[in-house]
Amino acid sequence: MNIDERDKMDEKQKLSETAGLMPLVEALLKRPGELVNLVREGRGSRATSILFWLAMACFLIYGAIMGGFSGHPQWLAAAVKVAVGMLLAALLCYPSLFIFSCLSGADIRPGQAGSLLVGAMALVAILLLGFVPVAFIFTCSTNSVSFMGFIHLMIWLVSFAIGTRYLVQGLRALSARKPNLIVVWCFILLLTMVQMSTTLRPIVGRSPHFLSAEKKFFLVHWGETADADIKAN
Amino acid sequence: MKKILENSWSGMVRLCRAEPDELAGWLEPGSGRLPLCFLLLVLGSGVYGFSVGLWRDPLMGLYVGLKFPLIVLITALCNAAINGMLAQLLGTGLGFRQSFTAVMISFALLSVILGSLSPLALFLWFNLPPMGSEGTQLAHNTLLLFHVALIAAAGVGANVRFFSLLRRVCGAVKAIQVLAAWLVLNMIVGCQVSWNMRPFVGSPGLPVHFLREHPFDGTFYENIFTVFLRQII
Repeated sequence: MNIDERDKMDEKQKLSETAGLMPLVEALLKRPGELVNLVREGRGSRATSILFWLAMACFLIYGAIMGGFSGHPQWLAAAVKVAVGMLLAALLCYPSLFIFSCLSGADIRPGQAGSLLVGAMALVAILLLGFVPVAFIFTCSTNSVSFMGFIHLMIWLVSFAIGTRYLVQGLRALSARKPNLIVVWCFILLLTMVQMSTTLRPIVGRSPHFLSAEKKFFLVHWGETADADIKAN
Repeated sequence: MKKILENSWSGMVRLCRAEPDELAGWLEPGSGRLPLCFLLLVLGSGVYGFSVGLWRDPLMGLYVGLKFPLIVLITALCNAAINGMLAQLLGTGLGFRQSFTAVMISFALLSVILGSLSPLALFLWFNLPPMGSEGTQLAHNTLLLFHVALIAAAGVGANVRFFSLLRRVCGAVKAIQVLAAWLVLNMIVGCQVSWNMRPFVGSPGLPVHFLREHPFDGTFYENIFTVFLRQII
């Protein structure tokens, strides 16, 4: 294939404003720069809306697998909690994302910050969906809540690390000179997410209530769960 | 009204991006940016202040929402004369009005950063044991630590961005000198004003007041010295 043919093929593959679900997923995984370009040029609202609903669907599916550890009705409750929890965590961190982006020198509008955040969350969600079979195998193989929680945390961390790279890449494209600030913000988002998982507990374990009334810091909750598992064994 | 909001918004974005050339223009006489800094300072630190006091009582949140901007403004006004003199003595070329505007720019930046982190402070409030429960003291201490860390981090972030403006105006060496002088003065006065205007988080054992019973009885530094002596002897 000569260079002209390759250019023509690239032109064909170039992401359009009206791209459907699969081209968007493909772009997010293979050519995130194209999606960033859409956002930068202010043509990404349709793509953002599709990615938002995709992320919600993927979170629901992954949440159902998480809840599958405890069986019915937890699989439904966990699915809702994971999707709502991720949405809330993103909303809580959105104002600081915009300010941190500006502080890092990015020439960005609030809508563009929102689009990049949705894109990053969608990438996290797609990766989680990819991990569903792995999570399912472990779910079927263990009775330990703390071990299952650890597996989910590891899967989450890997997906999060890859997903937030899209955000950093997007902000770089919007002339951010100090991406270190965005890394700090990603850490804040991660902390918010893990605390959210404790706030909306139980997600992996079992409980007669939809939500726990007791307020707990996530490290305390993890410590107590691990302790209970060790004592039970 | 719409135009004022648009101008304020674009001003806030420019402030956060902290382009030295852009902000240097704000120091020029007649730039009209002082009211914007005032507005951002009141809004940002007011919203943040509310999130600080909310755990103790909603009324306390309201009080702290009023007190926080007041502390910052009183500190800036108290030091206006000496900051201006120091700037001139150090040969920065900044006059009294320019020095005051510069300090207000740094405080406005700090307030915007804190304001953007308020949703996270509210999330922490939501997750803490409520006032009057078993974990009251733990919640109080956690809040104190969290807010001290948050204000320190936001302060470092704001001053790093502010330094680039000073470096553009008066060169690196003089910028370091004048920033250090202003920081020391603002810290000395700011700590004392905060002491006079306490409580903020609100001690669980004391009733909710706008100010303590004798707000001008004692100083922050005497108290630190007494605590220090008590620990040693």
